[in-house]
Amino acid sequence: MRARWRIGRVPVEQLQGVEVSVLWHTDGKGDEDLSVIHFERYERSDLLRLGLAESKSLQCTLPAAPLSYRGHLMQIEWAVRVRVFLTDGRDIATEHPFLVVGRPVAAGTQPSVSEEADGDSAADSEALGLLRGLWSTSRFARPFTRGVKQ
Amino acid sequence: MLGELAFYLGVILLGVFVLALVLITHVMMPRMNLELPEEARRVLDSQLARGGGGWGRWIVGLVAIVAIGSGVAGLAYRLLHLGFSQERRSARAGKVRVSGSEAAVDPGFSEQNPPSAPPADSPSEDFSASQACLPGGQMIHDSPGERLRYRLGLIATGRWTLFGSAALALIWNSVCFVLLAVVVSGWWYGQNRPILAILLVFFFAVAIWALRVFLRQVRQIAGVGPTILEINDHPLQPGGQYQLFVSQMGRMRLKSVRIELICEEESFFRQGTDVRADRHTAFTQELLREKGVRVDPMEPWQQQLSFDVPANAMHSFVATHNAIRWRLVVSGDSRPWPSFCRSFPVIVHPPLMAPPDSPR
Repeated sequence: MRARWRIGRVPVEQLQGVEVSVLWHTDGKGDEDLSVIHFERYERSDLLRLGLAESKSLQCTLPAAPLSYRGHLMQIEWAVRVRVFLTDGRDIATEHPFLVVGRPVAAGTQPSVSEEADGDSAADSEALGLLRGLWSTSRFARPFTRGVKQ
Repeated sequence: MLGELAFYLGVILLGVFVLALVLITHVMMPRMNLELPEEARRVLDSQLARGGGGWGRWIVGLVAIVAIGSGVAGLAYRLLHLGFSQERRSARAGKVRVSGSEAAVDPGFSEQNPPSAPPADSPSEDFSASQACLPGGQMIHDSPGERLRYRLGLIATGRWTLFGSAALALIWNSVCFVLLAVVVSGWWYGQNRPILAILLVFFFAVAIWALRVFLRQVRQIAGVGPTILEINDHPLQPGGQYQLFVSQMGRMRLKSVRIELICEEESFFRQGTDVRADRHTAFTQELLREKGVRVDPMEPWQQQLSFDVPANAMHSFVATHNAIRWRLVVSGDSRPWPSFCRSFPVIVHPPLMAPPDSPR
């Protein structure tokens, strides 16, 4: 999965740190399960050095499972979550969901992991509203960003 | 979080207090040669104050040291993760490599070295499987079949219920017979207990009911012969076609027998201080239904059939609080034995997972 993200509307001086995660979590009647597949943390010094003008890249290899699922008791949601830590102690999290779907294996072929990483099974994402992301588009992306329950 | 910190702090302080008591009583007091009253000296010299003997004080001291150690370790772990976000804790628990400042130096995509790609010396399949929450199917893969490749294992159900009903029947019947002995001895020695004798009738009615429940469960488990299920390939893949062999042994006449492929959602959630579970059957596919089946010890009922897993089927999934489980269910309606229902768990992999090696 490849994506780009950028933080807008917040001056860099007000930022203590930023965490970017690619994760799946469950939703529904049961208690939440969460697993982080990719995690990046930018400290204040990194943000001051890099600035917020440039968008930053995000790239990771998604595992073959779990696939996105919407059932009766539970859902499995994939998302890119960005958590912004402010200097006054608050933190704001927002996530952009995407779908991970299975690709049927064609007869006689065994796709390699590199094919998966380049192909459409891995989900690309679109826009991170609050964060003004510049994401590459795909038919699996959902064009909205939502806040995260704290 | 504050509660956990207070708990570990309490464990440390308690350990320090007990260890200090042990050291003061057994190491420092004899060296100080204090002029103590006779009563105090007697108390200090008693077995209780010495910790129950020669080894007692050292055991108490050892327990105190263990308490201090575990408290310090727990406190250090909590303090280390204090202020961490949910994602950062999960990343640490899942041993996901934390990156950020290094990756941020190059704003473009790093094609050659993706940040969370698996290490070069580890198989990419293992990397994927470790994070995929797929249940392990090693027990099935280690069990070769006679007709087909794998023999599926049965979920042992009803054992705890059987133990429960056995305990209830045994205890209740014992109590009834003790009360019967009281009534009979009272009658023998001329001290009749009519109220207890009347109550005993109701008690024995409950005892007979408990005994019948127990015997019915014994018949249900032991009376129906073993069921064998074998499959030509495992784990299953969405869109795949599979052969299934089923064999039912025993001596019985079944009104009907049915084989189903079932997918079930399972969720665990806290309600107050209780942990509750909820299950929902998300998918059912009837593979076979046959009426008027006769099973003899010399001639078990056997069938071989093929079935398809739907192409859009969700794979098996097991996390801490949620699960998606697939199973093959063989159920029969029999007389005079009670009806039976036996589950054989199977695993459905997502399309990109490689199948394991053959057991042969």
